[in-house]
Amino acid sequence: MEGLKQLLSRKTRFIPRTQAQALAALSEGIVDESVFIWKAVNIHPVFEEPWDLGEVERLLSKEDLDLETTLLLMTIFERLIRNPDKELALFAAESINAVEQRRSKRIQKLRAAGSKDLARELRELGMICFARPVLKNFYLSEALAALRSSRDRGEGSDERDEALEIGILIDLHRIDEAKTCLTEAVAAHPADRKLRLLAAKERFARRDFRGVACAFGTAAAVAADAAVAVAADAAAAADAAVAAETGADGEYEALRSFWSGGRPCNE
Amino acid sequence: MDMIQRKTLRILTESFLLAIAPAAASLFLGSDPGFLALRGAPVLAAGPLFAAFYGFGWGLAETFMAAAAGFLAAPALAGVLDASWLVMAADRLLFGAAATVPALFLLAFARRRTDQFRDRMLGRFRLAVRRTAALDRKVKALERVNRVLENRVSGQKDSITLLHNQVRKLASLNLERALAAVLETVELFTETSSSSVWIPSSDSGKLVPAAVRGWSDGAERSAALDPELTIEGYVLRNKKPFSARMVLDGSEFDRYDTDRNIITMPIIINDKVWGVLNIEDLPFERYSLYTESVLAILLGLSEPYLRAIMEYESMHALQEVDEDTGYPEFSILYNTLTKELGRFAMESGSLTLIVVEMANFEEELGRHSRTKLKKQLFALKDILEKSKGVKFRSYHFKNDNQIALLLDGLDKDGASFFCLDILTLCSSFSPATDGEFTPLEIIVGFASSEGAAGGADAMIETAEHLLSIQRL
Repeated sequence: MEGLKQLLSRKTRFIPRTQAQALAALSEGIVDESVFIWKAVNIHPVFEEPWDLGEVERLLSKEDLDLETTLLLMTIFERLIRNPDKELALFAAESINAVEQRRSKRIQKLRAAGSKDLARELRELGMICFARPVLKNFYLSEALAALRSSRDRGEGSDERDEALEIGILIDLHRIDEAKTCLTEAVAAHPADRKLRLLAAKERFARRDFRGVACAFGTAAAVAADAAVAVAADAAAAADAAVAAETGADGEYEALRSFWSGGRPCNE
Repeated sequence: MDMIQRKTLRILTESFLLAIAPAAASLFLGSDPGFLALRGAPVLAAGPLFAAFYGFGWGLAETFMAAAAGFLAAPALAGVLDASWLVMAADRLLFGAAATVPALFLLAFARRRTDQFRDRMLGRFRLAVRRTAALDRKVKALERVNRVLENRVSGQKDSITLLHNQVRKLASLNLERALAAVLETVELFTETSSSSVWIPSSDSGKLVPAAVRGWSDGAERSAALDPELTIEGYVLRNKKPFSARMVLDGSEFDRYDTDRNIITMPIIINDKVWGVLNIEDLPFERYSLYTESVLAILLGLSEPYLRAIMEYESMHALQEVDEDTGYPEFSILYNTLTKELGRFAMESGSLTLIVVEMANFEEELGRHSRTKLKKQLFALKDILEKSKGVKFRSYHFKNDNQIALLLDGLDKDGASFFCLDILTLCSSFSPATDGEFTPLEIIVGFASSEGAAGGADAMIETAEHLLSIQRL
């Protein structure tokens, strides 16, 4: 933790356990800055063996964990659950249960409130259960059902919901259904880049690699057309077309460039 | 009605009520309208009170109103308003009236100072509240950023430390373990859900899986690939990597089935393609130049370790050959059996282990050398091959008087009939050793992979069990 110099220069023997405690101790003059830096800034990747269970517990204790971190923790727990050390395996099992319980409670609240975020939350829970395919598919199907019933109740559906539905269908490997939904969604919102990306993803899932390139090509053409239509005069139209072609969204353009091949697209 | 008008109306109402209140009180309390006995103090007090609350102007106005009500209206109503009363009032009120005006000034001044002080305090308070709110917003934003940064750091799956830990697993001189570590590292760094390593089989000339990861049970897969018709074969022949987007560049890959390949890379050891790493499934978001580069780096890092394993295995294989017969030892048989059973777990097929034991080996040792007797057993294997018209894979078994044969494609009944054939053949045969005929007493044990569980150990145990029964 500390070098000899820091140990010698330490004001007290107090060692804070949490970041908040370290900050309070620093402001009260009980510890010096190096202790706070050690406790508050010394973050390291948690996905390393031997597992830092303290760090894992610290992350797990956060109520508002994002999906990526939750997935990472679940990956660690799925490994720990096969550990020969029974205590570790039990810790992993309890942690998995805690994560699922937390999400389930959130889902119950959203269901009771009739929130539109229910489908999104169910999908996330499905993704979290990646190690148990049956459970994963169940939650994904539930998410799809929630989304569709919300639409049937006439609560409206925007591009975001359509993208979510297509994403869930791809996750469920219901590629043909996803394709049908995509065709309708893209026809309704031809300039939507997210839908175009989903179209590329759906074709990638079908191993239609030329189709992926075509999806990006069509997206670029639609964006350029839209830009030209919006621009009032010829010069502005030319500028807008160039802007659309070069793209403000660097990552999208990088992806498009990655997928651009030498063969013309037939679509 | 705006706020100022409402306030003005309220003050006017208050001033009117406060002006008539002392006058009315003086009427009801007795025969002293305007409280002249008290020098008009209750009536004149209304003005300074108003000045303290609303300022000098309002205080002066209230003074006049209260004085008018107390010293004119009240005596008039009481019927005492006449010249003598006015003279007496002027005499009695002179001091009070003189004291009221400076009091008005003083109270108005004090009120202004208090207002200024209050305004200053309020300004400082508002500023502090604004600053606190801004600080609160800033703290919350920084907390969010800190949380994201923390999650990014602690959530790193492709860190150098992890790579280092994974690479350390390769230094085991165990090919199976090393390839498993390679595939695990590939999974960690690319998020692939299915990957495999393919190597050419010296027996069939096809590509067979040396290691797999993420192959789900029950899924139909081919466990032997034709190198001429597959991307894996293309990569192996051309020593060039394949990436899905390459199908866009030309018709070179049109004749191949690309359903199984997203990225396929050659595993090069000593400048020769030893095998092929195939990424069979990859999230769309992860298919990028970065992933391609990471795979190339991982294979580059694995190369020295895999080379060491290959050298070790070839050296070990040379050591594990019997000096007298030139046939592989039991350890090679065990490894082969383990690998083959692993292959049959992925594709249909069966493997039969037949152990042939010379029961009179010890008796014959008195008359013949051990070397000659060992060779005699393998001579029996040659005759069997000629008789059946097929080649067997032959190995030494645990003892010198035992040999093992591996046969593909036999079921349990076929294996038992085959063993009967061996016994029949041996009963009519005595091979020559140095011109002498050695009588062969043969017992046979066998085990089939069909329906057997437990791997190589279980098969060996079954065959040995049959032998032990026959020895009795």
